[in-house]
Amino acid sequence: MNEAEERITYRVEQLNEQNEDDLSPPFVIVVQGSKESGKTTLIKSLVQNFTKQKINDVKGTITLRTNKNQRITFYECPTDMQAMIDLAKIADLALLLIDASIGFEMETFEFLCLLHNHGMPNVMGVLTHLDYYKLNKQLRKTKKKMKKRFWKEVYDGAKLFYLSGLQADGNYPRTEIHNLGRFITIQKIKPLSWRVSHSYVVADRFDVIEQTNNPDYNTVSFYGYIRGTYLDKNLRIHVNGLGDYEIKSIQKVDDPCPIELKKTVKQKQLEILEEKQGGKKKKRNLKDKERVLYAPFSNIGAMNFEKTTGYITIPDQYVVYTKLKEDDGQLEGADNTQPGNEGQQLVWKLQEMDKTMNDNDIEDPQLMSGINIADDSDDDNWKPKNKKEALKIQEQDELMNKFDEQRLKDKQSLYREREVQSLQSMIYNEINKEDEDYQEDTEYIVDTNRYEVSQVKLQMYLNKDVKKLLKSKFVTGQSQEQIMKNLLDMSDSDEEEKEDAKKLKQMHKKGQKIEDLDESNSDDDSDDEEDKNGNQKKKKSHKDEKEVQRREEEKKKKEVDQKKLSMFLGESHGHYKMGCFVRIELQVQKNYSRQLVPEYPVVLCSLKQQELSYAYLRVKIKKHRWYPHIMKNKDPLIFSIGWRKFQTLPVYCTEDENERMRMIKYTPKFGYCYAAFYGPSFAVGTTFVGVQKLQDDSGKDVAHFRICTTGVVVELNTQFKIMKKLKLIGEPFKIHKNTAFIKGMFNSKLEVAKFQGAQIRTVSGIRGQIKKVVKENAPEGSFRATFEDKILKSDIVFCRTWYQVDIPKFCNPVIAYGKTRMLKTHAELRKEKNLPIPSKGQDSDYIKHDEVIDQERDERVFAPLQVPKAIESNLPFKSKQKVKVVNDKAAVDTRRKTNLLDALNLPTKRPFKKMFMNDQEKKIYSMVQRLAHLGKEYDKDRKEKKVQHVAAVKKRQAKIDEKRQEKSKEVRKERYRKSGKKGGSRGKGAED
Amino acid sequence: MSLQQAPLEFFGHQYLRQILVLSILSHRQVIIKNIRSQEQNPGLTDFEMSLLKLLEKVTNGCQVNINKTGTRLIFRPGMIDCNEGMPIEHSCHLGRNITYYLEVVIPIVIFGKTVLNMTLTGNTDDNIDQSIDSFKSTWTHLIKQFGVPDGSLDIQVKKRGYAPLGGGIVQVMQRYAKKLESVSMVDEGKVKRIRGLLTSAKVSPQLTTRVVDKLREVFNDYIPDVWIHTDHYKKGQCGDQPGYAISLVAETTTGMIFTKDFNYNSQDYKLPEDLGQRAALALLDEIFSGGAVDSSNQCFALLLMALASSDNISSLKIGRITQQSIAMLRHIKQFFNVQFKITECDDEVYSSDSEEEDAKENEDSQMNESESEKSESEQSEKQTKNKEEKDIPTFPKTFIFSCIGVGLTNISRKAE
Repeated sequence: MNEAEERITYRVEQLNEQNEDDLSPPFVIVVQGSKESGKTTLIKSLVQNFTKQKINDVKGTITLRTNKNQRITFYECPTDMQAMIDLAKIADLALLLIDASIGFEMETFEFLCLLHNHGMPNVMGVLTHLDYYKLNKQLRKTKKKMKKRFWKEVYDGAKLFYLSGLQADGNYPRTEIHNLGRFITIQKIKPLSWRVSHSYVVADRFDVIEQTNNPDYNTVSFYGYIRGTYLDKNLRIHVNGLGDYEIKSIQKVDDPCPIELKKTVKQKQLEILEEKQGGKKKKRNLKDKERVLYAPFSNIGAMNFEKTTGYITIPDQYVVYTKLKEDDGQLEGADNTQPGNEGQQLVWKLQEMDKTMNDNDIEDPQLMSGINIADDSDDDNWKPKNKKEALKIQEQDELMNKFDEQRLKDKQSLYREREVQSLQSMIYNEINKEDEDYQEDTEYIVDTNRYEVSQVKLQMYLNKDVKKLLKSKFVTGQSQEQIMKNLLDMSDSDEEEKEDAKKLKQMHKKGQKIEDLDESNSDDDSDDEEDKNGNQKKKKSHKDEKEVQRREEEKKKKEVDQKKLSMFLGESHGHYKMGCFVRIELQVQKNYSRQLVPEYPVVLCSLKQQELSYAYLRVKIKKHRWYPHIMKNKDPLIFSIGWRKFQTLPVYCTEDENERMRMIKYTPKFGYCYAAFYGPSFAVGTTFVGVQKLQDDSGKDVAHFRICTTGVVVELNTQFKIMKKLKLIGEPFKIHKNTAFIKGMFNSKLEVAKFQGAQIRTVSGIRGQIKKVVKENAPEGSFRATFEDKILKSDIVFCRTWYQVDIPKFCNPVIAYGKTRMLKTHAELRKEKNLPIPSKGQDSDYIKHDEVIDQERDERVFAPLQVPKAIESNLPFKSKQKVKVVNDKAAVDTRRKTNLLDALNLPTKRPFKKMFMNDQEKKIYSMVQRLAHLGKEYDKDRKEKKVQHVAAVKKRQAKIDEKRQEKSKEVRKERYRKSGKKGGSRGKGAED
Repeated sequence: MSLQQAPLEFFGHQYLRQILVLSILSHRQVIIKNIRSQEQNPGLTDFEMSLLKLLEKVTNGCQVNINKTGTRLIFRPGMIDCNEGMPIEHSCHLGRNITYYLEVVIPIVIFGKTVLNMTLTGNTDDNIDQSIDSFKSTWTHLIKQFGVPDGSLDIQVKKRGYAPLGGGIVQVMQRYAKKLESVSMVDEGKVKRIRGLLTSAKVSPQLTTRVVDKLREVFNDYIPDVWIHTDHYKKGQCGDQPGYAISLVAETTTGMIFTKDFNYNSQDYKLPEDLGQRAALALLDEIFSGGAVDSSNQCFALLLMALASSDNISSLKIGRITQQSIAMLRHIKQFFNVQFKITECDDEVYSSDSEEEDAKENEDSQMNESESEKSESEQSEKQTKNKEEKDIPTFPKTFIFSCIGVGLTNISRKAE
């Protein structure tokens, strides 16, 4: 095994061992697809495959056990945008169902986009409705095409499953589902950074406890597994669609779907060994009893246990009110001939009884098969009035016993740490008392960290004995033997110091100097220390040993760490471990709590301290390429960042070269721009998705791609400076050489004064500066300005300024699943109220450019170019002006007035055929026509002749050329022969 | 929907700085009441106002609301943006040392948005707070322990200014960090070298050599590796107040450091030798009391531990716990809900009896005369060791403070 492999195997082992201590929560498989793509059927088939049970309703979470140490949770994703967003945030594996008869649909791409932006979990595609294709070739083609597209969207080699049509029982083919199930169970779930740092609970069940005494709030208890990391009780919780809450109470509850601990590699090896040595065979499959299915909203599990009480759930349609027949006491139920299950029997029996519970002589009903409750109570005199009470009391007793034992154990350890505890309690327990006594005590304490020692105490260190003692704190303090001895003698020294001692011993042998001690100590953590001294010959074998040793050491260290960690992560500290099933109670507003429905996922997500404040966020944002419109500035948009969803008004902007944030009215069609908005603060680098509408007005889904924008948080601040470009326009009314007087830009002297010295520019690019107000003989607000050149009176002068835009301080959290009142866009409101687009004066109106403006404007005629004589005389003849243009004002005017061509009245080549011609004209016309025809013919002839002529010439020339070539060839031949002879003789001579 | 938690209430001015630091780091509003309400001069003092002004410069959007008498302060923290990386200048009130202000700013700026570039003017050394040199050596060391990259903090003393006239200029540059790693500072090791910086201005340079001599005299009994650097500031490099100050640093084999500093003050020390001796003994006192941080800086170590990443335990050995640290622990519990676990450090080399320090002092003063003769005469190690256990003063108890931090991450850090 080479080194790389070794490393890999080591890694794998490590990874396996990581999970050893804690049970991981079931991973969430979100089954997503467009309507009628077969989501429910798939879940049903998979559930049947894993648990051999049938479910009728697929509602809420469905948790089941796949093998000994794994469980999974299914969730069917509705096509509603909110539910899709929420589920994309919690999905560990997404099964994308694609109807092959239709092809990819919008929802699939939307969901993929959501997954991408909320940390990409595992994705698997499933093609359904493949029986639509009857021809084999067509089927193959479609599969290939779909796979290619799917790969492009997810990644190359992404798994795509094919499910051919349904079976007779309405499920998918067994083998195909089995394969899919296998694939699901072997998925390696990758940890996503957001979820690893934020714990969350997907509520498997929730009970709303109506509180009549509280007019505003209801207590809602949620049940679910803790996922992500451990849950801190003291952190605030965000419930999607409900808002932020503090945990009222949290409790660990029995796991409805328990699994075994994962075995380590070593344990597995041991088992295999045992098996080989003839032990009994390890069972590989789950027994039917162990195939647990927990789907509280799908009406499956009949028994529910909560705290100490249990409930029997009977779906409404199965509730039958039994009547007691008077003659034979037989029950008349729906199926009283059959034995029925335990729950049913119990209920029947209870119904059968005509005596009240208070009568002592009734036969105690058997609760579970064979367990008699009354037998357990030892006290004969006292009989429990209520069966439930009996159960409770018994359990309490047990608990108390356990508690006592635990207390005894704790006591011993407590006694030992009594003193330390007192320090801790001194610090923490008196925290409440502090306010009163403290004030007086410490009123005159100076707020400083410097620690002052009294002079008297310092004198202590001049004492010889203290000195001696203190010396041991220095490296030079004691001789080596003494240090060694002290170290070795220590009874309760820890390993590290022993190691120190060992090292010292070694060094002592080698005769190293004491100064080296520091160095060796500094490499303390690198464990190679001993290896260096070790034998070099057996390096290889030694290395393996060392490797093993190191691993064990690491493992030990990890265990110690874990132990220490568990000390802090206990439930007494408010930390609940990942993977445990808990019940969380929250105080929820009444109108919200009534809107909880199992179809939509309810996720309780813990928030970090920093995410509990509002701030202005600057994000890098991009319109999604498939969203049909561009986003308008300050139009409401619903953001989904982190766990939260909220509506806010983003201001879009781009960054100019000088880092100025310039507001833009619309997002660019392609590419990124920035947006700033007000909202809850999130860490820089968090990705988000923006949606304009969660639902249509009529409650229907929007017909186009629903995700508007994607992006990432760039910066947060308490304010942002976003500027809007503002052009002030004026026109000159008097022009001197480089000075001009400009009006219309400002309205008052004060305004001008504010802008004195500002840069101004004409459209043609002549730059200038505002100088001073003109007070007399000028409209109010006009000023004197200088330019770098003389400007024209027709020039428009403008001053470019910047105006800061306010970012609206508006944030509307999305609460209660689409029932929140959402802000509408301007366009929507206008459409609703049937209002026109408001006009803000002529300049802002949109007009068709060429139609209107061109009509009104004169065509501009420029004066002819005049070249000075001095220059012209030096020009080459080619560039000289041949004909002098007379500066004829009248001609220019006429040109300006009329159409150029018409005005010039130039003779055309041919007279036009007029409508009404007299004979003379007709004659002329026909003559001209004939002449023209003749001319054409002549031309044709001429051209033909020319072609012939050219051909003839070429032919002749070719002949001549041939002859010439022949001759020249001969001549050359002769020449070469001659030169060859010469050269030959010369060559010979040279050789000699 | 209000995301904000309810503001926390406090009484008195004693731990104003801690409360402000924690308030800013946890984004929680605080109300401090009864600020010197019973005193002759009620309300916030000038230097406290100066501190609040500095905080307003360092953070963006913080709101300070003080009532007319100055006895109630409502502080709503803002974003730590370090003035967007632009230089900050602040003249600190001379009532307190510059370190008084830095002790608030530096822990905050670790979680800042941009690089801090700050110039403070004021006292560099006084008798209330630790000196700027000690502060520098401690903090550069301390934040390194928490995984902040080397060179993040740079403190330069441009001008020396002794209290009370001040005139010192200190330039501070600090880079933000992403988060703090958890630490394990449970082994303080042994002292391997002692360094010192003796600064003086407007006094005869001879005085400094006298201090150094005295220092050496004390330390030579323990360790030869002592190096005291003397730095005389000429006119123009210092403020108007003449004086000299010493800052001592002891480094241990495990890389921990103890600092102690003393400042010339004509009332207390007639001779420079007195100052030298006192400083040296005070450093020895720090070493003697054990722990991996010195008592002046332990509350910062505790603070950083509470903020460190939550994936592992941070633990710290502390010899003697100061009032400030106790207050800090309580405040941390209030703001971040982090409770430290305190265990006795049982791997102490010498097992210690649980005696009070004062009692010990009396004891050893009586004992030492008779004891010293014996110990010198008897050379066998076992016996001496026994006696050490019996009679000779022992090291005070040390405790290990451990906690799991909240894992505060720097969310406002600008993306690069």
